Amino acid sequence: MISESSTESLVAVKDLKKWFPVRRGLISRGPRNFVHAVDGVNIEIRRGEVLSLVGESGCGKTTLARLVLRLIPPTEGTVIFDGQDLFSATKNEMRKLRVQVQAVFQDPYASLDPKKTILQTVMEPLAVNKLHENASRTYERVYEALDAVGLSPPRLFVGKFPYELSGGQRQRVAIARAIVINPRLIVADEPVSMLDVSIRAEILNLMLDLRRKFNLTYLFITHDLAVARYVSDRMAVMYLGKIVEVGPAEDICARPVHPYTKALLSALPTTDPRKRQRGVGLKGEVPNAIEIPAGCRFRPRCLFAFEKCGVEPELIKVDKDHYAACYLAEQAA
Amino acid sequence: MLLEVADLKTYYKTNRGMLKAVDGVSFSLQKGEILGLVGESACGKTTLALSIVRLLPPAAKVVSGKVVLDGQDVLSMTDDEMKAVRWKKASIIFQGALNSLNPVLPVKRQIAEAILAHEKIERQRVDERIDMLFDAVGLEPTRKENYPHEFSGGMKQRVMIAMALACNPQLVIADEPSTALDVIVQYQILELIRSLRDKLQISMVLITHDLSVVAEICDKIAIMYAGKIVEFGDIFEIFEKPKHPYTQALLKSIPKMEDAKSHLSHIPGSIPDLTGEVPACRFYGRCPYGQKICEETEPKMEEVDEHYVACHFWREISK
Repeated sequence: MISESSTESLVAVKDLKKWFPVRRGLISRGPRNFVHAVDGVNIEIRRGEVLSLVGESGCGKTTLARLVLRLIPPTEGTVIFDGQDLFSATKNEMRKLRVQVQAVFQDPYASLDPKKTILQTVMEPLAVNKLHENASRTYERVYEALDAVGLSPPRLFVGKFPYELSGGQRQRVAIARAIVINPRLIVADEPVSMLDVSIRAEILNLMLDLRRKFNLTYLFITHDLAVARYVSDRMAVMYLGKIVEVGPAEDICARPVHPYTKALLSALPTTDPRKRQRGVGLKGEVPNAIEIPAGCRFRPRCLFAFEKCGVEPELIKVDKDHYAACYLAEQAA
Repeated sequence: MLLEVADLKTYYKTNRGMLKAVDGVSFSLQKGEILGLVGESACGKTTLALSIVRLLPPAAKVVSGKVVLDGQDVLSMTDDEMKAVRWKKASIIFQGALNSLNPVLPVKRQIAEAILAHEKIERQRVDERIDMLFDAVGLEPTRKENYPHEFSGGMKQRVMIAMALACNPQLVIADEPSTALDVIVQYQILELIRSLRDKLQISMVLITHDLSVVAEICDKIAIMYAGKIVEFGDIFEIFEKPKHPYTQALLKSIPKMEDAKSHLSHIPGSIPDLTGEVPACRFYGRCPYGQKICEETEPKMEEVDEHYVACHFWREISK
């Protein structure tokens, strides 16, 4: 099964749940409500792969990323990083784990401190993780990181402030900050969706280059399936807190099994005006994650729902390495 | 001809000198057509749109050129005359419009305000009109009593479209109408725009940096670069036979689902600073075909079968 941690998996997410309590008025009674942001996720991230996590806003992809980054504690389940449980690690173990995982966020205008120079920004992870050996070695590492992300020659950039850089350059700085301590996993949350289309390709190619150069593994979160297909080896589709389909990216795009994946793919705007789409799509929007529909959570929006869907489907193998949580998958398999 | 823009120049006064945001732009739009205005951030798309409806900020000024909307010269109108045109003949959906609804008023009040500001009409008719508008954009008319926070992103965008249609305009300018939306909701909004065009025969200018949105619903496309339109024409022509090196590079930089996975190329460099000295052809410097002549002489807009392109070497490179 895909949740088994094998030797090739760097991260294993096990039965992970994160429920957020809904704040209520002072004197309201009745049962407490929860937002089921992540609601039972099993997935592995394999060494050296780019795993993309796709889905609409509110499906829980960012919460899952925050759990993998150990920014928030889970309600249930855990994340195993290279054989070690992230949430029961001792302080000492944690210090060693911390430097192995870094993040790149969506908005390069907000994720860089406007009052820090590029040098200060990029050397911060070294300082925070007490990896300062001596000043000259620190500068060397910062220069190497800037060079690696294509901000060269680095000496022209180290003294600058974020406002002096373009959006693409800022995202490069954010990536340099992530790689400066030689992490093994980078969690990238929509790293190109705020950028112009013409710059996106540049950043995506850079991230792929860095993977080769530094043996990185990526968890790449995006809502854009075309971007996901371009960067990733495997793709996981998330809906209302659950993974509904996971498999090789090319496979999923060519032969999607879950009706939700099919809908996402058919809603994607074409790049060929002669192939304009009509129809299919999907009605409505993601329901709120407080009252999860019983049975298959996609049932209310699904065009193919039948009685069996009243019981929640598990992930079923449909092809080599390709799994889908849908009863139709049984026929496909 | 519904809209004709001729040699329009709009400059901003800045501390560092004149910023030539729109610098000699010409294009035209027929009734019922959707034009996609495409370009990178800061290439002047939004300034061009604001110039057409005369909603420029105080620092900006139209220096020369002509905007003719339905036979009327927009730029020579008095402010009062302009008020009669705006919303009734041409309306605009601003970028980030999702956040521009007033959070403490029901949406009904906000749409009514827009209608009453531009038309003398009885209160009761206003209500009927709002019901019709909501119906047209696929919202339950009863929802008009709701406050903005009770709507999702896609629904808010529908409200904004309803508002833009409130006074039956012939032209709607939409600035990045689907950029902040998810794939599925974006699809629904594009579908809505398509059906409104078919039903109401309105014309649209759709501003976006996303070529796939253009491929999905536009009839014509104008590629803008650093204050100029560098290529203009029929959507199929431009997607299949792009002539300008910038258009060619843009098309190569978007991931395509249709074809086998191939390496994406990007356009190195960035848009030149429009307050300073710019090369005669503004794409010179980023262009793989750039030569001396491009730096010195501005390429003229040339036409072949209603496909317009401004490049010295388009014949050579589009072979």
